Amino acid sequence: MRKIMIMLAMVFLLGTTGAHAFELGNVEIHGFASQGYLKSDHNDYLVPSEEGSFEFNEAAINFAAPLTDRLRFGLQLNSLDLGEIGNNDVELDWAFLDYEWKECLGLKAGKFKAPFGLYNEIQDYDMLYTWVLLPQSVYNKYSRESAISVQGGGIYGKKPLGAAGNLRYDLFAGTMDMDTDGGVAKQTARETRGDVDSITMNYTAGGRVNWETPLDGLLLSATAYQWDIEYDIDAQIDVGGGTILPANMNTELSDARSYMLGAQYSFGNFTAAAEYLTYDGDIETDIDFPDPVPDVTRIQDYQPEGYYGMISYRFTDWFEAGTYYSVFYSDKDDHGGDDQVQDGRLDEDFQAWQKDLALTARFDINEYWLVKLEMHFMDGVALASQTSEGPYEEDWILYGIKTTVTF
Amino acid sequence: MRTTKTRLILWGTLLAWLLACPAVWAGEMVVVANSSVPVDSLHRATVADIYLGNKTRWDNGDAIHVVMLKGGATHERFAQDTVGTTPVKLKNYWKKVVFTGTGTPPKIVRSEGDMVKAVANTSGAIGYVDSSTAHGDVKVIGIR
Repeated sequence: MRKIMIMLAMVFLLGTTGAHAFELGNVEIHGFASQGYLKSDHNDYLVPSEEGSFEFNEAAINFAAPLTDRLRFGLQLNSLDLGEIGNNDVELDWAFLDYEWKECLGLKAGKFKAPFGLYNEIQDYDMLYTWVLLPQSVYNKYSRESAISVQGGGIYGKKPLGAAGNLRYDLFAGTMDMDTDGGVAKQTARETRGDVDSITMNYTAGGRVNWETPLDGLLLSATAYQWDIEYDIDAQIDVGGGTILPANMNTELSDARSYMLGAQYSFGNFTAAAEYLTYDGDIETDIDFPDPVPDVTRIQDYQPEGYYGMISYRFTDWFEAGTYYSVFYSDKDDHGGDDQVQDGRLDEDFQAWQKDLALTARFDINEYWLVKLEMHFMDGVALASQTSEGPYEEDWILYGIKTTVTF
Repeated sequence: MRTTKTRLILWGTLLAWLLACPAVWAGEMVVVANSSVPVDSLHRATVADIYLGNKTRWDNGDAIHVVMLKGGATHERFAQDTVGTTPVKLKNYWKKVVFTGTGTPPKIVRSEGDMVKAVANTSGAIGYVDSSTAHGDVKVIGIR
């Protein structure tokens, strides 16, 4: 509660006094703070939303300076709270050296935002988009740690194509900072009724190409990743007949791939975007039961799928409104969930999908302070069941409000 | 009597329109650059590329330093007519650069006089002002 009050006080003070970027010599300092509230009529989602929760905030401060004409260094510290994850611990969001050799080739090393789709890099930065929640079918906030920042190296560049527009590319290889208190681990612990001892992303590599087409305002984007993630879990396994046994479980999602295609059209105050995301991989699980129960190895497909379409329009300097429709399936070959219920992965078929119709209004009180109101009409709980225990309701409504101050 | 009333209405309407549309009485906008900049003219699309981060170096390899007005009629006309976007989208583009660390953000100045000073004092800088602003210390870039 104290953290929330401090955050609210900071937001209020910055918002009412006016906030500006600071400069210390060559070092520029920028930051922001957001505080949100989520409430649902049924089902907890991301936070204890059924009773209503303020455990929904982010804040960051960054420092950046050019070291030479071609070499820059910057770092950003961030803190977030999202229900049971984050808890306002301060973490390094990004810190990297960036050497721009030529426009068409730059190199970076350190921890940097992962280039993924149209909006991954800005998913924590409320002031840069219309919504309280970006479409969660593609930008799943609960598992953000598995997508948000890469530790490693990368190359990037931009290439003018003359009459064909502009091309930008990013390629990278490295790993991601996974946490046993993070959303991915919490979800795994929930599914296995256990505790996650360790979670490691062995590697991730991939890239994105963005093409600004000759049609003014039309941007096309393609992303592909490959990655390998491994968990060690102290699990409680239901072996049937009401018997639950303790077991050491090692689960590896090896050489999994994700692909994302997207398009954004921006014309004056109007913006439209659509993206499609799919995953492909196998989850191999080795379960080590106490003797004399034989050990078991299971292999199952990992193939979630998500997509959305959105439009927004800025009516005045201070008012913008938008809507999106976002769909997530836990298995792209089993949209209806029948197979997943049959093999025991799901209790209810509506855990196999989550369809979300969102309506948003954004008010820019001044240049530094904004407020957003949002309503989600939900069908299904495929994402909500990752973040909370059942029982679940199939049809539900989520309300969100968020305010952000930027300097 | 009727003629006087009609004249008053016409003049009043014209005055209200002029007050409501600063762009009408603002002069022509000019793109300006530091004297070190190795070009005398640019395509409009190239200026847009510079202000949208697609072009970061002059042809001789020197870094381009972008200077941008904080707001106002000249900034709005520049964003819409030259860059081809809205002031809000232009601002958000650079905020994205700031919060992802993926580039050097522009220097933001509050007045057109400050714009001229910043461009004159920064090697490789580019900016824009209304033609009525004194800009003798900087190079005017022709827009093709």
